[in-house]
Amino acid sequence: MGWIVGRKEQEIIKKVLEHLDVMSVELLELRKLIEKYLSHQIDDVEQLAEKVRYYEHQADIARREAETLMYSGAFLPNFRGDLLGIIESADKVGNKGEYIADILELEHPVIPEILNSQILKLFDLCVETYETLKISIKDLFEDLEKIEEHVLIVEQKEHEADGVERCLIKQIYKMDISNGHRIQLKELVRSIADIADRAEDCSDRVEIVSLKRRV
Amino acid sequence: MNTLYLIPGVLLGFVLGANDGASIFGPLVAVGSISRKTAVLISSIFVLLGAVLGGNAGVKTLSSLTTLNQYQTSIAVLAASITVVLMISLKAPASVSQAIVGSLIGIALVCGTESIRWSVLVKIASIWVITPILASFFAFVVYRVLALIFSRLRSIHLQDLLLRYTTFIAVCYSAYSLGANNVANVTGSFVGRGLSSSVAQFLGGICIGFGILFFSRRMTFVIGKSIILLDHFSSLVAAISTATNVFVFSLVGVPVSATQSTIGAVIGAGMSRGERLSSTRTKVRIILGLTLTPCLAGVVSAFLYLLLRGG
Repeated sequence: MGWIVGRKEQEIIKKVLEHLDVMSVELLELRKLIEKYLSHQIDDVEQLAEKVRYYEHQADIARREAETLMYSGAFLPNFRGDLLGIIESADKVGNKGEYIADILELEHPVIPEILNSQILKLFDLCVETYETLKISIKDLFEDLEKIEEHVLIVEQKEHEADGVERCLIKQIYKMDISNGHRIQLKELVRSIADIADRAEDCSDRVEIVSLKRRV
Repeated sequence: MNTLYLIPGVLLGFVLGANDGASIFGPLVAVGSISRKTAVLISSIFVLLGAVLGGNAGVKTLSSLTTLNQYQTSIAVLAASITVVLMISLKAPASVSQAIVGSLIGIALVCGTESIRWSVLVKIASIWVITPILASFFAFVVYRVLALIFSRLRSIHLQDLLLRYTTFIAVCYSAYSLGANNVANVTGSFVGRGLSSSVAQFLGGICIGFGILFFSRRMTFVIGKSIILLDHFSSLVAAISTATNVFVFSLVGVPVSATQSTIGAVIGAGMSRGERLSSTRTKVRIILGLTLTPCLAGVVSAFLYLLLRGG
């Protein structure tokens, strides 16, 4: 009799939120990794990178479970497609997190100390963007009215992150370092800022779903 | 009564089930609000219930339209079936209600205009004209009322549940209304010509139900997608409005076109959203349905009658 209250749908909502939560943990581990890396505690980097990869994999598992459940007939078809798009889009944040961990662990870029605080600031802004996106996705299942407000915050945070990203790149190109080094640092900064960009892309999808529900 | 004369009625029942059954649940199935299997199953049950419990008024109207005998009526019903099948295969808008009236009038004109009850014909024709207009009005009102409830639900999960259950009820309601309104098209004209009203309603209901169950597959998607595809909510509004429209006319006792009701309802639902969905093509479709079907059916039935009579 679970279909009366939509048990299958509740199960999917649980999985979607679990997917988002696991990615939050992944970003938290990535934050620790960046901190350790910037303070030259290289010994911990490998272990933290492994954790980041582990949570990214866990997020993939939760995503796949949600998708499989969805195609067993939960939700009405047009929302099914929309929700699938949202999950896939949110998952890209996690993928980027893993990519940043890989850059730090495998490439060992030399980061001038002067950039440390700005890099951490950029990363924190990206995490804030993602956390607001998470709230807006939760709003789909709890309070559709609040989506607009949260989507707007995501946009603002992403815009702020863009500013810090530009500032960092400007600083990098003013430094007396080789072009190869500049490109490597720019790639790292761009990748971090990509977290906010991807969160914003996903929040656009959330907004469209909420607009489609307006009658 | 010679049961052979009823065979065209049985055939028309199948055609009606396939065509109009698809009209009522086609848009809902096309957007995926309900599975075709479920829609077909519940519709075939509720169409029979509608025919038996609410089909009396329509049967009375159609049986009193002309004074044709059993044989002439049977040819008219056969001509109506041929017309509808012909129009469906030409992808033209077909209405069984308009085909049967056109066929009866076609033969009555050959036999002599005194066999036509003009007041009944005028009543039927005027209701046909207002059918899409009233359906639009119903859709406008239903949209506003449902939107009030829908917008109070703040979770997509709850909205989906509401849509799912209301869709189920809407299909039951639509099928009941279709049975009540359209059973007269199938067997109504035989009443008073060797067939009692209750038997006619039961037999008609069975035939329409059978038509929905076994022959509506192709038409479901043709109709569901040819009528402007809306979202789940608007499709539901269109289905409820069509059902209400058809139900109201079953109380009045005039069989109307479910397809034209659906077109009217879709336009009304669009108006509620502030969208203009009535293109010139839609208007032409409605006007063609109103005029082409009865005229063609009249010509086919007159031709068939003259052919079988030997000129």
